[in-house]
Amino acid sequence: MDKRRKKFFYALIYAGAALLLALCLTLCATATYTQPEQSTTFVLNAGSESQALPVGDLVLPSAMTWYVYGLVCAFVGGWQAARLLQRNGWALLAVSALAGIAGGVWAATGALYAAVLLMGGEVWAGAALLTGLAGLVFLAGLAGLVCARRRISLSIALTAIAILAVFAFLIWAARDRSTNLTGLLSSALLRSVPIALAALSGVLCERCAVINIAIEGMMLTSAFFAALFGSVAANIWHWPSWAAFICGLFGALLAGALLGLLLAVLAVHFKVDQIIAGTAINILAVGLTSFLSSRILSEFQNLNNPGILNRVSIPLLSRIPVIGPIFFEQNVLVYMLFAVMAITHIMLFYTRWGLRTRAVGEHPRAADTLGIDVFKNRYVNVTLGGMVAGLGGAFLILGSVGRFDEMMTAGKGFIGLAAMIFGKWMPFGAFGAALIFGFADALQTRLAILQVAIPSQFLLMAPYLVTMIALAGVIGEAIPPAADGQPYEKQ
Amino acid sequence: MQASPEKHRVGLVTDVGRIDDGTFNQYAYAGLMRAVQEHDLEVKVVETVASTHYESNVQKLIDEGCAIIVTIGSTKGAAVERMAMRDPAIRFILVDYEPLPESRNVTGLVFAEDQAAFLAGALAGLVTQKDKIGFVGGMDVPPVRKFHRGFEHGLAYTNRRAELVHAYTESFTDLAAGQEAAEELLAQGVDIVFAAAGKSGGSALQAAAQQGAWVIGVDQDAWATVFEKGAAAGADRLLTSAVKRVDQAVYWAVGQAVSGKLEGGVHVFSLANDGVGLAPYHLADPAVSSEARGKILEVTETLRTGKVRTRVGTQGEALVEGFLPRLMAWNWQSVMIPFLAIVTALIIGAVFIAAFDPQVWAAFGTSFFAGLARAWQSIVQAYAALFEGAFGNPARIASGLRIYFDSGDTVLLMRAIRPLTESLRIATPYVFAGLAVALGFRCGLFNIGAEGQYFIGGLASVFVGYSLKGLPWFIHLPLSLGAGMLGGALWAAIAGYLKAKTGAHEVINTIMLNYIAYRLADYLLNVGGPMARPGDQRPISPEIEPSAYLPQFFPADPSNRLNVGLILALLAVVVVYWLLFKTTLGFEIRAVGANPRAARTAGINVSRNFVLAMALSGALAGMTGAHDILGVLHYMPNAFSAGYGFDSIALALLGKSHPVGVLLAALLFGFLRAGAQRMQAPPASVPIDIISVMQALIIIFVAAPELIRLIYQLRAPKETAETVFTRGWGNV
Repeated sequence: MDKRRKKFFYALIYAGAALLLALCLTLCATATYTQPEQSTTFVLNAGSESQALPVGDLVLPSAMTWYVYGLVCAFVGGWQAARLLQRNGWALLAVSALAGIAGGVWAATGALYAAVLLMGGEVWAGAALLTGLAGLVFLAGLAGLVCARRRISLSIALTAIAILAVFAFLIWAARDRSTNLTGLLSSALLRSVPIALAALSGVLCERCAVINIAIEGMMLTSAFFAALFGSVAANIWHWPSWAAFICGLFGALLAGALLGLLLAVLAVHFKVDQIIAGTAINILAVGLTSFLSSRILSEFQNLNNPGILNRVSIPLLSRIPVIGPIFFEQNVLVYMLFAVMAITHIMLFYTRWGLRTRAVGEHPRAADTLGIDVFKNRYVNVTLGGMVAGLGGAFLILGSVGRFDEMMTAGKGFIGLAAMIFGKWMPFGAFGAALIFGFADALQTRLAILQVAIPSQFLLMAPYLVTMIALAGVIGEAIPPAADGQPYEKQ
Repeated sequence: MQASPEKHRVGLVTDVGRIDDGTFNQYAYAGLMRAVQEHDLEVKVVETVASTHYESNVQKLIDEGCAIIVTIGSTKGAAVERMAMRDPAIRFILVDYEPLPESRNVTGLVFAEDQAAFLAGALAGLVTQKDKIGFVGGMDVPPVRKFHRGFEHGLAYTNRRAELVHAYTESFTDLAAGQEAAEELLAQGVDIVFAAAGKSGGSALQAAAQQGAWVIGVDQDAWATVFEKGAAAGADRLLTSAVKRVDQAVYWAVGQAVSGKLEGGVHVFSLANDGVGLAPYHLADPAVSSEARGKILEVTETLRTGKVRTRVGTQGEALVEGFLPRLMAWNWQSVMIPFLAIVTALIIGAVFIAAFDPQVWAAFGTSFFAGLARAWQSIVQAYAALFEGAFGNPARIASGLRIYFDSGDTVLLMRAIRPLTESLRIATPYVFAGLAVALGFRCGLFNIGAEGQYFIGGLASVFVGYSLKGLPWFIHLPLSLGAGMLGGALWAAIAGYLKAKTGAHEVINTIMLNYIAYRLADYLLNVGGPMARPGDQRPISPEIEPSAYLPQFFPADPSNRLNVGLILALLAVVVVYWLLFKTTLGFEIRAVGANPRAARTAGINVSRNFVLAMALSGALAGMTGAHDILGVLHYMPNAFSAGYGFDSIALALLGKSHPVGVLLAALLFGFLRAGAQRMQAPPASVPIDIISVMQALIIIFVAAPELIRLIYQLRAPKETAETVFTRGWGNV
C-alpha cells in the first residue's frame, strides 16, 4: 500500500469512528425525544401464497431499539478510534477511549431505562429475530468479502456503520406503522440478481485479464433477444410457457455469447484498448436495441410479451419462516444465479481450468511459457462471461418485468462492475456486494412507499453513491489480476 | 564428419577480442546467459584471437554439434552466411550484420543506430553552451554514417543554432588518429564530442574529456568500455552513450530460436523494442537539467511512436526534406482508415435500414426481385434524406441564390441553407464534448461522464442566466458561460480527485456521477423543485435573461439558431491545441498520459495532473451544456440529455484525440445528426438510433484498424503509432 493510500485509509478510519460516534449520539437523542410507546412493526410473513410457516409480527419499541443500536455504535466507534490512535500516541488513545466509554454509558443507561419501561412484551424474541435477519442479508453476503481479505477490521467497521444506519433509519421511517421486512429482503435479493450476474460476468472476464466494460450492453442486447425469442415462441408458435422460457433464455445466451465473442475478437485478437472496445459495444447495443425495438417491438406488440416466470417453491426449505420466502420461493433464474455462482467459484479455484485462467490473468507470459494457450483461454472466458451477462439480461425480462424497454438496464452493468471490484474479483464476494446494492435499491422503493420526507431523487442516488464510496474505500486494498487490461502480445 | 546438432547446445563466436571486453562480446555473452538460464541450454564459447581464426572457430562449433550459433562482428558476416548454407539445420544469429533476405537459417540482428544517435544529438543540443559540437567517425561505412546523420538531425531537432563539425580517422583501431581528431575538433571550439570510431573513437573521447569537453560514447556504455567504470581520467565528462542493446537482442533471438520461432532475415532493434537507447548519465547526472531530461523523454516517445523520424536511410544517407517527398512519405493510412471506417459504417447501416424495413419484407413476400428493388429504394430514400437533412437540397439552394442575385431577397436562400446551418449548430456542442474526452485521453483518463458534466454545467449556467437580472450582456454572458464551465469542472474533478487519491477508476465513478447528476437535475427542475419555473406544470427552469443569450448569426430569423457558440468552439480548438502542445502544463498532461510511472520519476506531480486534466475536461463538457442553454434553448428542461456522453467518446477516437481531428469529427457527426432528423421523418422513416449503430461501428473500425485493412486488403504501415488511452483499474 503506497503512502497516499495509507493516508487516505487513516482518514477513512477517522471518518468511520467519527461517524459511528455521531450516529450513536443521534440515535440516543432521537430516542430521548420519542414517546416510549411508539413502536415499529415489521411483518415477517411473505404473503398469502407463500408456503412458509406463519410467524408473528415483529413489533419493536422504537426508543429501545435505538438505545441498543446506540450502544453498539459507541462500542464500534470507540474501538475504531482506539485502533487508529494506537498509532498516534497513548494520550489520544486515552481521550478517545474515554469518549467511547462515555457514549457507551449514556447509551446503556438509555437502553436499560427503555427495557425496564417495556418489560413484559414480546420484545426479546423479536429483537433476537431481527438481529438474526440483519446478519442473514449482510453478513452472509459479506462472508465472501471477509474471506477474500486478511485485514478485515476496516471493512467490518464500514459495514457496521452501513447496517446500523440503515436499520435505525428504517425503524425511524416506519415508526407507528408496519412494513413487510421479509418482502423487503426478498425484493432486495431479486434486485441484486442482475447486478450479481453482471459482476460474475466481470469476474470471469477479468480473471483472465480482459476488462469487460460492455456488460451493460451485453445485458441490454440479451434482454432484447430474450423478449423477442420468448415472445415469438409464446405468441406466434404457441409453445407452452416453459418451452417459451427456454427459447427466450436461449436467445439471451446467444446474444450474450456473440457480444462476448466480439469483445474477445477486438480485445484479444486485434488488441484494441479494452475499455474502448467495451464502450463501442455498449454504444452498439444501445443503438441496435433501440433501432430494432422501434422497428419491430413497437409495431408488433405481441413480440414484446414473453410472459414472466412463475415462482418455484423448493419443498421443505421454503417452509422455513422468513428465510424460506427470501431464498427458496423465487423463480428459476434466481436459482440459476446461485448455481452459476457456486460453479464459477469451484471452477476458478478447484479445477485446472481455473488455475490456468488465473495464471493467464496474473502473468500471461509465464502461462504461455508453460504451454497454456493464452488466446484460447481468453476467448473462452470472455464468451462465457458474455453468456453470464446474457443470463442477467434474460432475468430482466423473464424473471422481472416481462417486457423490453429501451435503455432498461439503467446502469446495472456498471454497478455490477463496481460490485465485482468491491467483492475483490471473487464470485461470492461479488454476490455479497451485489446484495448490498440490491438492498439499497429495494430500500429506496420501500422508503418511497413509507412516504419519507426525503425527495425520492436523493433516495434514487443512494446506490450510485454507495458504489462510489465502495470504490474509494475498498479499491485501495482490492488488487485486480496483475495483467488486467493489457492485451497479450505473443513473442 | 559432422555430428548431428544437439538441440540445446548453443555456441558463441566472439569478435576479435576477449569475452569480457566490456563491449559487444561481453554484452552478447550476457544476453546469451540470460537465455541459457531461462531455457536450460548448454553453452560453448570460442574467443577469436585473430580475425583469420574466425571461420575455423565457427566450424569448430558446428562440429561440436551446436544447434544455434551466435556470431559477433560485421566484417566476417558474408563468410558465416556461406557456411550457414551448408548446414541448414543449424540456426545462425549474426550480430550487426544484414544477411540476404532469402536465407532461412541466418538471422541478422541490426540496430537503429540513427535513433540512438538522434537521442544523443538531441541531448547534445540541450547541453551545449558554445553551440558547436564535434563528431569523430571511423571509416565512412553505413553504421557510422547512420550515427553521423542521426546525431546531426537530433542536434538540429533541439537546437537550431548548433553547428556540427566532423573528423574521420579512416580507421577503427588507430589510437593516435583518434587523439589527433579530438584535438583538431577541440581547436575548432567544440564543447561536446561524439565519437563512433571503435577503439580509435575511444581514444578520441579520452583525449577530449581530459581537456574538459563533454563526450558521448557509442555502441555500449563508454563508462565501462572507455573510462574503466569511472577510474580513468575524464570519466566525469562522460555525458552518456548511444547504446545498442546487444544483450537484449541476443537474449531475444536465442529465446526465439529455442522455441523454433525465429525467422530468417533481418531483425531491426530500435527504440520501439528497446533495442537502442541512451546509457545512464553517471557522473554527469547533475549537469543534465530536468527540462533536458523531460525533453529527452518526449523525444524518445515521439521517435518510438514514429511521430518524429530520424530522416536517415538504411545506408546512412540523409532523406530529403521537402514538400513533395514529405507528402509521399506521409502516412496516408492515418487519414484513409477513418474515411474507410465511415464508409463501411454507412454500408452496414444501409444493410440494417433495408433489412428492417417492413415494406421491404412485404415486397419480398411478392417476389425476390421486387424485394431487392424495394430494399434499394429504401436505402436510397434514407441516404438521400440524410444528405438533404445535412447539407440542404442543392436545387433549392441554387434557386435561392438566383433569387438573391436577381432581387436581393434572402428569404428563400435562408430557407434553403437551413439544413446546413442546422448541421453546424448541432456540430458546435460536439466540438466541446469531443475536446473534453480527447483532453482526458491525452492524460490517460477516460472521461465517460461528459453527460453528467453537461447536466451540471447546464444547471449552473441556467441558474446564473435566470437569477441575475439587470446586468449588461458583456458581464452576464461570460458569467453564465463561466458558471457552466466551473460546474462541469468541479463535477469532473470529483472523479479525478478520487482517482488520484484512492485509485478508484474514473470510468465507474464518472458513470455513477452521471446518474447522480440526472437525479439532481430531476430534483431541482421537477415541478415545485428549487429551480422549477414557478406556476408551470412542466419540469423546466425559468427562461434566462436575454442578456445571457449567445448572440445569433441571423437575428432576422429567430428559428435559425446558429450562434456565436460556433466561434467559441473554434476558439476552444485553438486553445486546447495550444494548451496541449505548446505549454508546460500540456506537456505534463501528455507525459502522464504516455507513462505515469515515468512521469512521476521525472518529477511530475501525477495526482495533480489527474485532477487538473479531469477538471479541464469537465470544463469543456460543462461548456457544451452552457452552449445548449445559452445559445439554443434559453431554459433548461428536465429531459436535457442528448447522448453527448457516448458521442463524445466516438468523436475523440475518430479525431485521434487531436483538437483538429475532433473538429472534423464533430462536423461529420453534426451532419449525420442533422441528416438523421430528416431521415426519421416520412417518407424514409428510419429510426434515429441507426446513427448510434453507425457510431459504434465507426469506433470499432477506428480502434481496430486491422479490421479495415482486412476488409480493404491494405498493407499495414511499417511504424504503427499507438496512443495509450486507458490502463487497467487505475494502478498507476
